[in-house]
Amino acid sequence: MADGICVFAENYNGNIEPVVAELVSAAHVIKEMTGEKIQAVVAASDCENLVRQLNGSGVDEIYAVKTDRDCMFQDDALSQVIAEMIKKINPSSVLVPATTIGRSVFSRVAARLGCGLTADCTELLVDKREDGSFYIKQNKPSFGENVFVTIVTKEGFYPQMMTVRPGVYTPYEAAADGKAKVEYLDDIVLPESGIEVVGVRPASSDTDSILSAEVVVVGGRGAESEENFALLEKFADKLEAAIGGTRPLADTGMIPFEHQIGQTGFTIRPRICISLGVSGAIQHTEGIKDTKLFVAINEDENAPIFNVSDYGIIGDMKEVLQSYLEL
Amino acid sequence: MNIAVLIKQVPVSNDVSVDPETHALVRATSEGMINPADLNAIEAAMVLKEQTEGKVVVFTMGPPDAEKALRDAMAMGCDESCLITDRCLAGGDTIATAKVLAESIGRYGTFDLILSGALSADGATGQVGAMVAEYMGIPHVAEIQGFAYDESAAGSILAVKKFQGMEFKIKAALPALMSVCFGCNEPRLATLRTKRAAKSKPLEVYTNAELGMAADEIGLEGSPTDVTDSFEPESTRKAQMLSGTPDELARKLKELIEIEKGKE
Amino acid sequence: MDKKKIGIIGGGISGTCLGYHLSLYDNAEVVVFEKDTIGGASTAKSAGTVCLFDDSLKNRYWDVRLYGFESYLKMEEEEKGSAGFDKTGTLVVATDEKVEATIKTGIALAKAAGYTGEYITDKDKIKEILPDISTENILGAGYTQDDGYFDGTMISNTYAKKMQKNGGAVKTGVKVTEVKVEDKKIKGLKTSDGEDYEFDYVVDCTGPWSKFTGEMVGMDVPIWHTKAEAFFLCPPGKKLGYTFPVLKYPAFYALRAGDNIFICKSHLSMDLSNPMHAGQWDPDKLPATGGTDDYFIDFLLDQLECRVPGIVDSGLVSSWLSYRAEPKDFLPILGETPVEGYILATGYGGNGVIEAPAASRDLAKFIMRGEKTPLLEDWAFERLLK
Repeated sequence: MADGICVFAENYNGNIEPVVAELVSAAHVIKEMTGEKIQAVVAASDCENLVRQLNGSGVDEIYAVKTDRDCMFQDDALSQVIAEMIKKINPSSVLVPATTIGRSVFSRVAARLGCGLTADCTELLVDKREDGSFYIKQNKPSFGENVFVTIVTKEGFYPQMMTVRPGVYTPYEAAADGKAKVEYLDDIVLPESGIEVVGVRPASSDTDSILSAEVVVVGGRGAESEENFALLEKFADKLEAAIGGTRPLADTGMIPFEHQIGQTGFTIRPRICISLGVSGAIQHTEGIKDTKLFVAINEDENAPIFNVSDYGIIGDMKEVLQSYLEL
Repeated sequence: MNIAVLIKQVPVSNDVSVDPETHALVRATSEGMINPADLNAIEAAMVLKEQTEGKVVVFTMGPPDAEKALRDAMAMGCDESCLITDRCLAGGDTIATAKVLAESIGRYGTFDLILSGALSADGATGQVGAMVAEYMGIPHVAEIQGFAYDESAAGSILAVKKFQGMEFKIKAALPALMSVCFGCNEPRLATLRTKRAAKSKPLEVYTNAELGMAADEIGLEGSPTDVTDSFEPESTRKAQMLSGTPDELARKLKELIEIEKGKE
Repeated sequence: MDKKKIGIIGGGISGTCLGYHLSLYDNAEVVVFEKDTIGGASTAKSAGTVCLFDDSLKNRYWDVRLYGFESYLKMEEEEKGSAGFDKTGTLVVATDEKVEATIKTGIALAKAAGYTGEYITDKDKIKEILPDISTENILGAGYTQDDGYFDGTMISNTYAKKMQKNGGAVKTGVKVTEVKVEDKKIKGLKTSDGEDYEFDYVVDCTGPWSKFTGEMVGMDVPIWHTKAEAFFLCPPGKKLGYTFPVLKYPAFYALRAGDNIFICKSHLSMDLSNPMHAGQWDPDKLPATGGTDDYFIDFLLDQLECRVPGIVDSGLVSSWLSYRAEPKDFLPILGETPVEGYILATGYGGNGVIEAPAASRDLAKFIMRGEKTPLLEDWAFERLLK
């Protein structure tokens, strides 16, 4: 019988990632209903150190595999180890951070175990079947954030495996420490991998291309004065953001034409967009899609941009930016 | 180097409805387009094609009108295409989808490299690529920025990946699968001429008659997960207004940005 | 004076422009209902060209064109950018003698109104204005520096704002679900948010939705949809290096969009009996982008190869499809209907931005004072019943 709420202890550079504490919180929510134990799985070459960090994080059991080498990005091999561990532990659910590593490793684990993997959950709810067994309703956004769907792992498929979006649950604060049961699964060995890290260097952030930028600051007519535009540039610099603008800014030559947003046919898809003094005609907002965070600052409280942004600030961009730059 | 590119047709807008019976999301009325990150995968494939000999074959699984996405991909320069379409494949989750894709790629031919976009604009699971790699028994690197082909030795390829503020060079033994991040390159544009030429490029159609997969492996039945409910979020995107002194507003703004930036 | 209560359905160029003109009368109480956003849908997809001497609106209605053009110039003067004016000039190409004669008439009319304009036959000079053009098989081209294109969305939002200043109201995100009629007389309307309004007049400004709007009062509004298929092109080398003017041929037109080029099939090339061109569809199903037909690729490729070969190898950035609302004679429907108090201001087709100011001016006067103008008589609903 599958039993336990298992949390993947994602780690990087010898540290358990902060998101793991959030998953422990989510696990405790489930535990309150099901009474199951909370288990952590960790597999790494510097395993002892990681186990120490996990002990006292609010988990009941820690399962660890010490690998004979650093297996960073060797997801073909690491996923086999994790799959073996999960088979042995036999938990009823597995919570994974919805991160680059979590997605990559557990997609393979799910395929190996044939158990399915629900992506990027923002809410986990426990419900009871008619026979009294518990199951988890896994709510996740779809189609941008326009629809939310509830996903349930079919009856008989274990474990119920899901990735959980970082930032949704508050990190768990453990009351006591060092009481978790620790078990090293020494018979599980890291297999060969087709992957090898051959180089690493600090990444540069590229803000020249508006199309690929993760963060974009967009100026409209309200940013047209030299003073305001200079502030906008400083603000963008601080955010490591690319600068875009609506037609008035391109017309004045403050931004190059290829950074004009709207009415050009190009669509940008930044993760974060801050618009300053943009009133928001549809040609502009159709030019920006799929943002995760869109904040608009505009003096006009009726500006249409407030219909499409997540957050709105009615006010003078100058004052807000000046304050921001002083922070 | 022969390259397979896996693409997905996604709706141009995220305006969707819900099928009350199957709970599957209905997107039939929506105009489709190639998923944005898949365009970056196609571009990466085109650059490799120019550096090596070989062909690029683009695959998609979807309704018959997903042919349009394949034609668009061929207008960008892909040589051949394969449309995997069958009613019995519909409604599959990532597991069921990846199985079918892996089977189709194997049936079509041998490839040195398989590329996909890192995330889709609609489901955004980012899972299918890695699952395909698992089913094919080959290594993969997820969410890469591109390749350093010139530095790659025979039988392997160097991928470039950004992670935690660092840039990693990762060597993968071929054949391998890579998923390519949105925005990592500038996808070439089709022209009127290449659009017209794409109409006569090869397109192979696979139904389950060709694939011969068991009913409990594919579609809704072959999926370990079920969509049991769909609902609209409480508020649609209408700005939550922030108020305060300029200093307070600046602090709130900073907090919002830092929270979002922290989610990797 | 008795107040007149007027409900306008549709917040595009037609509804906002009429709302503004009505709000200039002190006894008008105006509410504009828009189910989505102001100046969206077909208004947002409009190219917004208001050119002094092309043929999109017959020279017979020159004053309508001029009034529209000058209204927007003044709007732009009042607040820069409020009409989104891009003064690129216009080049209208004469492909045959008939077109040439129309252009020459237009130039004379433009000059009479104090604008510049010339008919150029020197092919080198034409190439100076538009280096990518082919001057083979053309007679000449009309050119003015004085006009360009406007932004229908900006204009609609400006009109809406001006109307609100005059006391008018705008309800966005609200769908009209029922138009109340008693004894063939308008009583008011109901909306999707559960509100119930009393009105003396309800005006249909819903353009491509008019067929459905008309059904709410049991009326058949005789409009068809023609397809406005458009592409954004990224020129080879990604930079134009010159000011691309509004370019008009009988079959298509083009204008600049940043460093890209917007290109669209002209509404005069539309054949209402060709199902590829015209029909009656559901505008709610129109996607924001995409939706163009394959034949449009062939059409444009053929056209550009012989007309503007310099941009034929442009990259296709994006495309869209819009429905124009066209009565069979391609002229709008303005004014009263068999249902008392139910007024039409629809069917502007490809000319909404050009025609709305003059048409709204006259229609507002009719609603508020009962006075008709020659324009209203020309564009009356009655003509379509014959």
